[in-house]
Amino acid sequence: MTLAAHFAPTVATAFLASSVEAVEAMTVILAAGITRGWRSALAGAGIGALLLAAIVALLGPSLTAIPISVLQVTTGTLLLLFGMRWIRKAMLRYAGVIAMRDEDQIYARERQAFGAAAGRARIDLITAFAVFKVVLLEGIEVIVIVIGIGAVGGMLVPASIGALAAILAVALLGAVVHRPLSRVPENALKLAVGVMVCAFGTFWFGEGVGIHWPHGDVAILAIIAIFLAAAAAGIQLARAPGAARAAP
Amino acid sequence: MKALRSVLLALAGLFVDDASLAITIVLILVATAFVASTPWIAGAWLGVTLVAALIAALLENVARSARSAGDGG
Repeated sequence: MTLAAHFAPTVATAFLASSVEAVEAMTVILAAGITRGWRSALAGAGIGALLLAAIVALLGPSLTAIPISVLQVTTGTLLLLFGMRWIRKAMLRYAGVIAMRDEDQIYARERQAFGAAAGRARIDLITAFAVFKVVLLEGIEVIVIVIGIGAVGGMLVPASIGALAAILAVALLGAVVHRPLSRVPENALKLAVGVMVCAFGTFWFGEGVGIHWPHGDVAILAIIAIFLAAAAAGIQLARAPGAARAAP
Repeated sequence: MKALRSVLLALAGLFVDDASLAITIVLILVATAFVASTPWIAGAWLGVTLVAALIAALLENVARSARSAGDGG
């Protein structure tokens, strides 16, 4: 596959996946900032971002020292575990087995939790830690995705561009609207990204163990189509009589 | 210590939601790596088998999760 043909799916996957993570983190940051004050929320987010930057600075150079087949097998395995988790959850949500994620509800719950936390201080440690933890965890998910889809094919730069663009876009939107971004179709994004991440993971793992995919990198597109069809079938399967339904 | 434990548990949760699905995926990958080191299945067919096995594992898990939720389990 040409560089251009590989560039677009890499940027798109990184952008979509990172926007899901950024929206989840933004919900908690907004709830913390509005309820407990911006000083604590931004302190937690800032420390989380600094730790993430340190992780990237440490991991980045060491990636080049890892043999390509080891990198392919490792990132392929992590992407598959990560992507399958997302596809499974999105399928069960579409089938009505588990409830859809509701950013407004989560925002209200977080605001209540932060409101019930210990008294207001210059820097409220409980709030700062809660925000730090969310930023760190969502950020690590972004790093896993960027490394997973970018490290092996020499696509770290486009993957990083996609991720940074998503984080900036969500941060700007969050700063402007000052409420959770509940209109983002989180489940659809999760399903689409899960499919793409699984396709990359399957492809890299296969390459790592010596599988020669037909038509080279183009096989990724075929694997995406197969996973997408399987996800659609799986949603119907989970909707079948006898399956559970989540309360609306 | 409690905070570190909660962060580590959350980190593990990034990759493992349903333990049985995660274990099945790892077993499929280990089996694929083993078969790839033998001359039993040609490269392209092993790729097809890998995709089919992963999808079968996912569909079985989703169907089982839906059923067990329906049974109240």
